[in-house]
Amino acid sequence: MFMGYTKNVLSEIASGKRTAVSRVQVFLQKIREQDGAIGAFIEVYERDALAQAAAVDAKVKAGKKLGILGGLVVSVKNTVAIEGKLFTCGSKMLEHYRAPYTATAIEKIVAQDGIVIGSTNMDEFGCGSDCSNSALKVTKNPLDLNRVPGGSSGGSAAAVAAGFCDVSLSEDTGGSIRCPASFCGVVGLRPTYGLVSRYGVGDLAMSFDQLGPMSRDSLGSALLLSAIAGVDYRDSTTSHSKTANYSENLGEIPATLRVGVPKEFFDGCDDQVEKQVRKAIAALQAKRGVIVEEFSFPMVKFSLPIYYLLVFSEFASAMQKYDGLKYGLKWEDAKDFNEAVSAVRDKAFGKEVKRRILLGAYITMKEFRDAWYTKALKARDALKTDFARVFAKYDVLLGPTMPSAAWKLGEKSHDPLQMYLADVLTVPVNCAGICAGTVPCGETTEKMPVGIQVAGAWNADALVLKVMSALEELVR
Amino acid sequence: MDDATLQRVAQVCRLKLGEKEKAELRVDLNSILSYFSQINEIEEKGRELYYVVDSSSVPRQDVARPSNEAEAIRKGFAKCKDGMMMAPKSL
Repeated sequence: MFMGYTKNVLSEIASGKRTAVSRVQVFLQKIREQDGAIGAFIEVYERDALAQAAAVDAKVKAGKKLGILGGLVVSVKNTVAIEGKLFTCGSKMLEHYRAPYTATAIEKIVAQDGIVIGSTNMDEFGCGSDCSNSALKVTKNPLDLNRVPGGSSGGSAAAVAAGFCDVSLSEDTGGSIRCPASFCGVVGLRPTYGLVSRYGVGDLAMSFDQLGPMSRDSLGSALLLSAIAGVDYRDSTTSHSKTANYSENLGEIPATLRVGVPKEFFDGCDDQVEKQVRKAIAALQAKRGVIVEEFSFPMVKFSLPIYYLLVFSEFASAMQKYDGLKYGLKWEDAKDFNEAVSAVRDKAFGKEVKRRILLGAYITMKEFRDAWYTKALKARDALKTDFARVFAKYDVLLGPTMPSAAWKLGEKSHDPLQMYLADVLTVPVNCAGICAGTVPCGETTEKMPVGIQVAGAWNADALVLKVMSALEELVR
Repeated sequence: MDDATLQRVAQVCRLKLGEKEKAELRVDLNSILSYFSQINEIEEKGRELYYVVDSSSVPRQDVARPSNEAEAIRKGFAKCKDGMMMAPKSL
């Protein structure tokens, strides 16, 4: 647990007690010494990070006020474009590709005096839940190098947990922030859809994808969210709703807080995970004004098929642009256009990516569409409506983030369905587009972290962060 | 999904699959579809929800902004001639 971490860092830099440059140098040294064993980073931006740090120090020396990120060191999941830097999305298709422009979220981080230190490993195009589908390298859980860090943002979570950075900008389509955050014992938040611009972000499934923070404590996530949130003319799905200062009054939950605990969230859950999560819920319930009620939410059990069928469809469409012509792995001479493009795609894509492309194409074909795709679209509407009904009664929902702690390397790599089933607790909120975060709440007898998930209604990100912070305080 | 359907889908997706790969994928795909067929238990009603946000076709302001990315984008082309992207022959 890292209580007070972010506050201390910001205070040290703003007061001049420690320079941003010296902090970056320490991180770089640690990465050099330890990341060989962990494998969090794809690329480290040593020169750029030191230059950004020097700019922060110059501001402090000149007595100027720093931006809200105040010198925090940020790693970035390698699905977010930074001009001139490798943009691999964990795939051989883009292994040597460098982004021609910078994502809005990165521009905002730098504008708020965040220091970008490097890009982190991920499952190929976000397809996976333990980072084993990266085509480029293996990332291990820093807490146990025989275990997975979670996915698809395994590199980001590992970087934060290993102390290679202060916070990480990551991305969550079906749990890709929350799963690795839970497995590595750090904080993570999937914001409400549309809160953060996706301009410059590699897409997995556009109606689900959302950038979000990972950090050592809730304050870190709140500050990073404050920096990156807001409408962007370059992403028409961004929300015009007023964004909050997410770090304001963090930890101060409302005088009356109505907490719902869906019974179905514990179905199939590991006993040790359930024990730690229920302990945390009980601790919150003991606080004055908190009303906790268990209830049944049967529609939640259909979240997994709804999620995956729609993600397969959107993903198949998203992958069409990778044809070896415009960027990435290059086409070679072949009999004709189809042969040339097919050869590149076959060579570049991993097994899971191919599975999802094939499934997405199949279920959207005219003769099969109604049986699968149309059904999933209508079911998504029903689930979204159900969530709205639930949040009319409860302020937040609590439950385990993942049904188990981190599994051993390779344990689920050969069974795609087992991998999908691990997402059962994270995908429901993505289907509805609402927000959810995770904080560590204990550990198993094998000393692996357990995460508790806090879900909130549309645009309730500030409240979710407050509850996350309150839980952090209670379980330390 | 039978062999012929898988072959047709692979062609649509522009994926060149080997025979062994096809056999393995067919097992995986059918197992996944079989599990997700529980979608049929849901009563079909309501609209087809493509987006979780209500807005669509959001216009931007008609303001000219510099865009200097053309050269950077051209640098990514696999094969380029006279500033144009080259593609394999279709006919």
